[in-house]
Amino acid sequence: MRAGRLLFRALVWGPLAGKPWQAAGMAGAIALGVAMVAAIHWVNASALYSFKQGVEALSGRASTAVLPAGASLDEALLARIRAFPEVADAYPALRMTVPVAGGGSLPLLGVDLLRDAGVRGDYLPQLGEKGPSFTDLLQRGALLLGRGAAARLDKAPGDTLRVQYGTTTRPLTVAGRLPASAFWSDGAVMDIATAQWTFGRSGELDRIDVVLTAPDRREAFARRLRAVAGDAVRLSRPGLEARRLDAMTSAYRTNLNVLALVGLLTAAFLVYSLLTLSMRRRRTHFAVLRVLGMDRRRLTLWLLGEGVVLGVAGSAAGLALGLGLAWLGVNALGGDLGAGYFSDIGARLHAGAGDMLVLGGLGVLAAVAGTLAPVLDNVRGAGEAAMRRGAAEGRRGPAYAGRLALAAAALLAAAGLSRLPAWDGRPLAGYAAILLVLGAGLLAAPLALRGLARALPVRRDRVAPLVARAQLLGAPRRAAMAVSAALVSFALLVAMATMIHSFRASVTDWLDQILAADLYVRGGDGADVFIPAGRWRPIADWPGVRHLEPYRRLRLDWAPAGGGSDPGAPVRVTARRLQLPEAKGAVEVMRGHWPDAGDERQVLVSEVLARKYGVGPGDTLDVPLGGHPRRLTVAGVWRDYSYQWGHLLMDRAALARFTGDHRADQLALYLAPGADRGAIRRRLRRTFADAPALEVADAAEIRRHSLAVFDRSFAVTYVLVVVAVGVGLIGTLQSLAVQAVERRGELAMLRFLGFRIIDVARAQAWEAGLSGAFGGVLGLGVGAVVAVILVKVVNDQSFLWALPVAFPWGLLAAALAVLVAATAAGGWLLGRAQGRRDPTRAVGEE
Amino acid sequence: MPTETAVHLEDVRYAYPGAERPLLEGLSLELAAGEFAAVLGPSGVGKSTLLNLVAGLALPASGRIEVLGTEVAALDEAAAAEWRRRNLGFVFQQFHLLPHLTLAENVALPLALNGRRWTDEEVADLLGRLGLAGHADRYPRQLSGGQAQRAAIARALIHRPRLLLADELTGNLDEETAESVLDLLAEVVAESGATTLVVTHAPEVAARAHTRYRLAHHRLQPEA
Repeated sequence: MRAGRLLFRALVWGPLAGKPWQAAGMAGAIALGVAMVAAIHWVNASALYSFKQGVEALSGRASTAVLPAGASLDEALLARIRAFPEVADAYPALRMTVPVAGGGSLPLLGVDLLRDAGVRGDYLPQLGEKGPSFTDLLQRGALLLGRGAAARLDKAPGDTLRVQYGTTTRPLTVAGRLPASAFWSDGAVMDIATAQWTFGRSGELDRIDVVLTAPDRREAFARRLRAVAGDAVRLSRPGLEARRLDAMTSAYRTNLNVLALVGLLTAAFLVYSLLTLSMRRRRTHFAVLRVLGMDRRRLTLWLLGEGVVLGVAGSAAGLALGLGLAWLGVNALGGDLGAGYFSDIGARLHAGAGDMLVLGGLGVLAAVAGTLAPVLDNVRGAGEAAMRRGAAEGRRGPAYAGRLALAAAALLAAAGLSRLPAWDGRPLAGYAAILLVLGAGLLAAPLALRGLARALPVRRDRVAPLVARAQLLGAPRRAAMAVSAALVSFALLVAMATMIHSFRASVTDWLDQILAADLYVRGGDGADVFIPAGRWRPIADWPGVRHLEPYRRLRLDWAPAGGGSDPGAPVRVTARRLQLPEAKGAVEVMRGHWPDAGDERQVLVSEVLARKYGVGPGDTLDVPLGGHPRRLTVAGVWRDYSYQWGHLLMDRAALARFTGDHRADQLALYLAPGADRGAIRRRLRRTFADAPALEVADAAEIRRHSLAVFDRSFAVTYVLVVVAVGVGLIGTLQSLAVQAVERRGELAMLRFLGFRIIDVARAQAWEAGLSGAFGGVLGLGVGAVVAVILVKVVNDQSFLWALPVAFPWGLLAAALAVLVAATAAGGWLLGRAQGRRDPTRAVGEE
Repeated sequence: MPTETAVHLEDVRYAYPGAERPLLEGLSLELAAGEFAAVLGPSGVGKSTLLNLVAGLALPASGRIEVLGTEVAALDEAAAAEWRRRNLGFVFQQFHLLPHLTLAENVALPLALNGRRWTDEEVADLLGRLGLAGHADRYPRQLSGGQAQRAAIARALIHRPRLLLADELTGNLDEETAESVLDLLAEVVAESGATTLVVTHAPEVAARAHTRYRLAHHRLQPEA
């Protein structure tokens, strides 16, 4: 035990405690990396967990739910299902989310209040003297408000709540509160008949929850239901819904997780570069221990202990920080970190002990990984170095030719991996290719640095840059070590900035094309509202209105065959007047042709739908519309960025004919030349004054709003990149600081030769600035290659959107300038500090 | 007079990897158990390499090396490390005390490596005998050159090695300090009975040894 403590102090604790700032920097970098990974994981996990809890609570005892493939279920189906021999009982429900006047929305659940206790539990409040009577609950608009919703909307029993449904505002009365233990705390519950009456949905249901007589009767039930209802319905289970959401958001979450892991990788790299320098300084100590009889394996294990200590300390701090960030993320940005996937889930932070162990373990693993190479590098040899004076010599390592060959092999392998398809929807080969490109860049860095330094023109009378260049030429491996962290993080910045810019540029071009109308009337922030035909038709005859185009959008729980293991994300259907010239001009057809006039069954499918399900021009689809499958023909594939999981564009008149639904949920107005846009806009606002959830906007406003949503969805990406770049920059500055200390004798010698303190500072500033510049230029090259893989492989396979690569040259130039300025400033300060040291002491210490 | 052979080198040849000419050739040496021997020679002639060969840290191109009854060149890395920590003590010219350990901890290091228990008194006793009483809790940076070298000698002897190797142990000391260190070394070597091999370029250091050799032209020659 005592021996162990002594060796721990000699080999692990002593070196770390002897350089506390350096150790804190390394542990801090690990902490930041772990915090990012943990925060993103917990935010996403919290959203999925909250969703799963909600779905399970909604389903209650029922193991199966009957859901509509189209808009709603026919209420007549309920009695038929109850008559099935496999069914013990069936429970109807209406489920809506309605915008509330004044802002916000309210999830509403309409159920049979008398029977629902059999499936979802008894959540009726105490009726009678202390609460509402049952008759109160049957009044039009009466609801029971959940505790969370009551606090959010500041409503109490007896208050009136105004909500929008369609284009009208409806008053609802808070008859009472749900018990504190009820699962529907963030919403409201109504009697189903009252809900149907209030919202004009008589004869409609949104789901029927079924309790079977025995679990093994499910197949028989499914067969009987299919015979009765055909494709108008689909079956679901609580676990299936949660898995579906998991699959739908998998690409987004995977990309964020990978990005966070790259941040952790940058931290591991910082540990590697600092420990390489530290262990090189202590090489003689290791040699002495080898001479005294410590074998290589034992020494290796002890030295890895430094990584373990850094990892444990960093992970502990990182987990605490990650918890805080996750709490902020869930409460400030929502369970999807602003991306919009879980916008209607009231996520609560859910972080388990098992997660903490795994995430903390990742941090330890990253730190140990960063420690491994320096350890192996410095325990080589038999210890005879200790017997020689000046024994701490640098490692030779593979020659330049070997490095180039390895780098070339890595690039070739990356090129090969980039051609591989996604595995289970995850672009794993693409991620591996990115790692290989980063590795190739690091391998080639010393050679590239030498080449850049050689090519740099420096006048002989400029001593500071001359000394700096000589240093880079003379010790390119050491210089490469200093800039490696900056190289990796700058490459990451280049790659992510390019990916986001490419995406944004494509989305902007697409918006410019698709927003062809002058004015739009639509639900604000995606609110689910509709405009009856009687309200929108007259607008077409207004003076100044050249064309009026009503849109109708549906979500279909249907997918063409060929979706693979995906439980089936809903497909969006948009119906518009396809034969309007403006419509043709607003949509880019990538393959095939525009639907022929006169053939209302020809449709366009989005690029995502086409790629996901292997559908193309000429193929037919049986789409459930109006309770029956309708055979439609794919005319072409269109570019769409509005919906990630498959979008079908069809003629509005055809949809109305199939479904009997003449409503619109968005209007596009094309104005005549010279029309008074402002006057028409004011008239629209007056017309829909009683529908506060509808907004009137022009194309520019919608474009701005859409791009703001886009930027918000990448907000976390920007944060992750900034953190990674920050870690890289700190790593570079710390490496330069360590090297400046190592070379204090050399710098002191310059003082003896006549350098003033300012000259030393200038020389160090030049060296650090050149290192930063070269690291940035190398990072730019590596990052450009990574960007191409990100856009053309990773994003393409994740989201099935083909994008062109567009480099944000202005941003990259500015970032490079900041990197050079930061490293030069750091070098100046380090040089000034070293220059101020007594040169006689510094030389004597050598 | 001790008669058992502690160190036996026979016709040893050693060359640096890639070197055209060997550094040592036809080198033979025999030390009896308990003998105090010195090898003289100028810098770069191969004195430290000789110590490396004896310690099993370097492998000969040819020839036989048997130390304390073991063919050290035939041991693998782990076995050689174990053999060294049980049997050998080292004193380096640069002292090479670990900076993060106190003097007492540095001295106790060989015991820790051997997994042996020790007491503070045991270490303090040895430090006292070497003139370092009261310095147990100090760190190497707080010591003079002479104190550091005496501490290094204590480290080399704490585990009672059978063979002591010293490389230019007064190379970094002034004349007066070197004298006192040499006196001390001779005293403790005589007490411990360890076979001692010192390499040096200084005749006054070699003069302290029982037997002297000169390393020149790749070979060892006894010196009067």
